Amino acid sequence: MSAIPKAVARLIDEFAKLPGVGPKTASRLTFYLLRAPEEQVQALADALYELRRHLVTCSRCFNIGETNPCGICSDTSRDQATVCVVEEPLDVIAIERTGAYKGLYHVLHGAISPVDGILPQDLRIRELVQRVKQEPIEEVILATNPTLEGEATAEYIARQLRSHGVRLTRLARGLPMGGDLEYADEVTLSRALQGRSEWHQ
Amino acid sequence: MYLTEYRLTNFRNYARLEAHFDRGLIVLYGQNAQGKTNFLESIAFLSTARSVHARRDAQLVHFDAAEDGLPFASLEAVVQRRDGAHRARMIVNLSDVEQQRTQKTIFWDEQRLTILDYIGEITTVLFLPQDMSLIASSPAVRRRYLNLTICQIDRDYCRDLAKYAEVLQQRNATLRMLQERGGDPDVVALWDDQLVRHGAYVIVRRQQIIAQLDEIAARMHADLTGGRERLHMQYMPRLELGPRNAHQLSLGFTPEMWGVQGSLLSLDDVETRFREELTAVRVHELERGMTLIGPHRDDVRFLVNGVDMTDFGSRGQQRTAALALKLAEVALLRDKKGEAPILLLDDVMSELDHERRRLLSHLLLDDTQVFMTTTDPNQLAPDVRANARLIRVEQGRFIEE
Repeated sequence: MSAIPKAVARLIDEFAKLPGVGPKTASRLTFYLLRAPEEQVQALADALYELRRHLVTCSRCFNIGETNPCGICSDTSRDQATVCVVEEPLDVIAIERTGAYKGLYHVLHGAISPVDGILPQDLRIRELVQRVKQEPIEEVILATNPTLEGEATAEYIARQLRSHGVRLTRLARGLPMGGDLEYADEVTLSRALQGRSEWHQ
Repeated sequence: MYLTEYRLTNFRNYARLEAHFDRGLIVLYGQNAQGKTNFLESIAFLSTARSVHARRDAQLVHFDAAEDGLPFASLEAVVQRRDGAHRARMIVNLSDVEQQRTQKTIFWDEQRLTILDYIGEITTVLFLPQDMSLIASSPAVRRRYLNLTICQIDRDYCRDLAKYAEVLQQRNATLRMLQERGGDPDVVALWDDQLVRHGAYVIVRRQQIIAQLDEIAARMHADLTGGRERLHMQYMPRLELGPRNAHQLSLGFTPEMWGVQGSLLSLDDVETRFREELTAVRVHELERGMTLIGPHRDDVRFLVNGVDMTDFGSRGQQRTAALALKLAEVALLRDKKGEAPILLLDDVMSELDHERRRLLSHLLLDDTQVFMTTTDPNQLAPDVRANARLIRVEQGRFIEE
């Protein structure tokens, strides 16, 4: 493939490293940028550069943000006694969108997955235990994904925190809103039955 | 059940094929490498969504199609069941030719289903020449056979088996990493709950199905041997701490407890014992860096008049026992589904015609559809031939007389 100039091949290779982008999409993006107006390409390059330069990791909750501590951690109107433990920064955004949560977060940056070489010491779990010791935390919500790895991670954290006198809760698992009972898979349905709650007005 | 319409596009060496069938015996004959086995494989694939021969699904797509920029294969069938006619359609899309990555899409009566929700709609039993050596093969081959059979009967089994494999992979990786890097050994126990939950279901279903197969296979075997020999299948959940049979006290049971005569254990019992055993072998597991007990170590034993056929059976005895097992599988599927599965006989027993006739007399019942391949149709007994539909297969095409 010597017909492709080096600079083009290099960009294609870089795009192809991104999740969800295969070699075909990578070349389509590259050739689109070749024809795109100068300003647009410049804007993209700037955005990429700024991404790393201006973003910092919060030293308290390990979420990404523009300041350290992050906006959520420094907001004193938020409930300082509740911490929601999530796997990724994206999960914070998802929970924030609900507007139903007023506490703090703790981002683990992954889940225990030895197949991918990730053990507990590779996650921000030690830091979480430290926080529970030092801050006036009363409840830790385990909001890792309901996957094999997420369950194991929640279990591990629960074991680490059990002796610290905090309330440990797990997100409820059940039926999606607007869903049809008839079409729910057996696992979801049986979990929803197990986790049923008292009827309240 | 039986296929009435069948259509293949770009499957193996079939660029296009359209055929109509009825129940009864359908004999596919022709030279080698013309597509006889590929045709049987396509029906088995449509039934189980898994290929018997290809290591990757990408190999199922006709190579010309991949080069022509139409990298997909499709299989379509109308199947007549007791509850009416249904249409099945499966598309294998080669999403990345270089990486050989594929996606499977399944439609059942024009409704898109996941593989797990679809498996079991069309039931088939495939007789392959290598099945005759099932008993002499390794435990892994017998487990694979068992899994394919039970998955057709029970979707929950299929689901739990897949989950079990996933947990096992994580658990083994944990043990391996602890061995290499060190760390908190309690991490292993994080997987135990899920391992036990999914594993126990697999064990319980295996013990039930093997007990049922055992009962039927013993009858079939008695008939095949003129009542001289008695076949008995035993489920062997195994704890492996050394050479076979040295420490085969698996999950703390004696083998007798697992047979038909013994009581079948409940899910709770198995879960409790599985959990206890896991704790007991923890030290060995950390040493060896792998999960040592559980259904991924199971085996099935075949005893004829009390003698283990895997170790001490003659080739003839092993063949007969394997044949009895396959016949039992057909009978069990018929029993569970309320109608006969579609039978696919690939060149089985072509060297022994009296055996084949006997086999067919067991299989060719009223409503059954049997596809059989052979290189030489003249070898068929005249009475079998007279009642069969003969199709010559030549370079991925059907030629009828």
